Amino acid sequence: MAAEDEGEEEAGFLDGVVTAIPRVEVVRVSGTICCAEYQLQVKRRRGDSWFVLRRYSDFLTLYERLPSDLHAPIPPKSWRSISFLSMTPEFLEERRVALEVALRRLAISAVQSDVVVQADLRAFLGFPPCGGAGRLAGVDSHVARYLIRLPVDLELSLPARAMAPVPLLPNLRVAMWMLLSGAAHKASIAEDREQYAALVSVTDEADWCRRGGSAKDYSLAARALETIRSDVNRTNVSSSAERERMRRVLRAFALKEPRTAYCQGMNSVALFLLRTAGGREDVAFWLLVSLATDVIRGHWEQLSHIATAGAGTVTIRMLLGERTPDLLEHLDRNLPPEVLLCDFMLSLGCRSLPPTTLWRCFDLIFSEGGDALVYIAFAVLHLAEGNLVVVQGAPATSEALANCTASMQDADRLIEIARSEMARGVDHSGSGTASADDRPPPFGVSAPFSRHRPP
Amino acid sequence: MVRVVDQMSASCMAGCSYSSSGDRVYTLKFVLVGSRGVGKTRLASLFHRKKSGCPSAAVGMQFGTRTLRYSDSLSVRAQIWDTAGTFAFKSVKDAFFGGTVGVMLVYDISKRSTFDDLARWLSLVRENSHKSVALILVGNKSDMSTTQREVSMVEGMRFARKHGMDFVETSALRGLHVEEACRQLIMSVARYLPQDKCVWSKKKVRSSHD
Repeated sequence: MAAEDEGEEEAGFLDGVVTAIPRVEVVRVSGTICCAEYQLQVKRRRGDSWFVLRRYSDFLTLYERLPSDLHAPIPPKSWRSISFLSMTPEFLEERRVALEVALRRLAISAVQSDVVVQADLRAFLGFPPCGGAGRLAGVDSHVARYLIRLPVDLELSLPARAMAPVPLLPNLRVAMWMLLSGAAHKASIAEDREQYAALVSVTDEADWCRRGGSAKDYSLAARALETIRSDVNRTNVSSSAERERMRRVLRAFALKEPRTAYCQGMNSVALFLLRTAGGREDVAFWLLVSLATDVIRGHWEQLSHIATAGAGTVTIRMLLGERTPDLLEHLDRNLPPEVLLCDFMLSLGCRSLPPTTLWRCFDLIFSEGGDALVYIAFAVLHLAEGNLVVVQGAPATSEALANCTASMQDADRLIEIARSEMARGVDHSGSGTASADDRPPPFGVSAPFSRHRPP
Repeated sequence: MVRVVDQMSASCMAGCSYSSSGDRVYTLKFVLVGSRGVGKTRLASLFHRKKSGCPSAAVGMQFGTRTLRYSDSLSVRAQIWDTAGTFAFKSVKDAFFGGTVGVMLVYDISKRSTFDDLARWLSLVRENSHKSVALILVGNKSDMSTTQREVSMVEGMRFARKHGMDFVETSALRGLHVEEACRQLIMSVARYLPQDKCVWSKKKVRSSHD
């Protein structure tokens, strides 16, 4: 379905799009105000609409990336916003109006902009799957889809050479991933100081600044380095050389993308990419960069941010509610899907699925874009449903899922479900607002004794 | 402290079942919180009596259960929720703290920052769980030499007393005092559970709980 829409949609996805910011809400953590979230409403010409939550700092980040000739200034950063105490309703309302005006202007002036700007805006406005990350690399998505479905034995050369650094890419699959995710493109145009080898050789802050990096970026990355070190030491690897490789890739990534820097689960992903790439660190590095900045852009930041529910988990809840309400109800009684899938979402399945299945899942993610992850997670739950509904209690539920995923060798089935669900899509209209009020109460509180009564 | 039982009864009772001899078995939920790398996962796995090498970092949540006998007629099935230290997501906070009767706050005595984080963790707990939830403060890694120690025992005690918690220093590496810490927490809750053998409702309860 997505394939047919694409032609007209991708050319000018902003055509006829109406944006608004109907609400702004203050987010409290432990009673203190932590930030304010603006609710963006996006309406498309074809009639569907959805909501996304964005913070003021998200606007700033977007504007940093946009070319300066797009004239739609946003309200400046105020000294008042430094102190959260001053987030008064009047202040927020004023800013909301200003942001709304800016956003409308931006949507109009960006219609004719280039691919990169459009990709940024797409992600910012929370558009549904952009029809393959391959587009970012300039690969025609139809070609990409055709290639990825070719019945080539993609694992041909992998196992034997898995660990040794080899001069050639170990298999066609990795080449495809590089191409589809835009990693190849990125690697080919990276400036000298952004090359993998250069990033690895950075010794300290002074060195980093001498090469033209900013001190602020380094301090952001440095905060993550400690975490990376401890997490790398706690990852199961086959050799100390592999551990060292993984550490270098993650460290280089933190320096390259200091805003994301590191999030738990990324270590497993890096290890998986390294192994798939036959130990080629630079390949794993660029794949990780493309993954985090384009394919599943914002995924890790959202999951690790204290105040936002990951967008993916909201979609999974909607999917479950729509397709298998019984399972959702059962999970809410025992262990809500957000919690159950937390590990899976953070590590993109790398900690739970067997590698052969994982390859296929990444094929899908790289060819169809980040939303595929949500549908894969849904497919996993769907396949595990039989085992999940027979157990009670949180520990048993989590264990049942772990057992199921570990033995999920039938990748065809998994991918087929994910694909078909993706083709059906999810009804975005208005349901993005499924707020905390609509959600069933959490485990324990909502489970009165009598609900366990057998029929 | 009697109110503990009154107010928590909803969640406690939901977890009450009966063994074949009519003893009460309560399923109670405990959570481990603390900054990353303080040894929560290792503490938990020691308590579940899993054979542990070096556990890999917890991502999301991990669970374990173990049954302890409290008195002749009462057992407690302790369900321990172990979470990743970086983990405080809005979407799962409710699920994590809902129905919790006891919290183990863990810090690393060789890392000052983990002790400084305690106030934040404590407020997170206070905010999200019942106000009479049982708390214990655990200073982990007591096997570290005195030169590596950054938080003194007195400081730990003072913090615990100030916030009305029990306090214990453990070494998950050597398995020192881990059992005691867990038992102390569990028993401090179990004290308030109804002790009597339950005869009157045995049948009824069973049929509705199967």
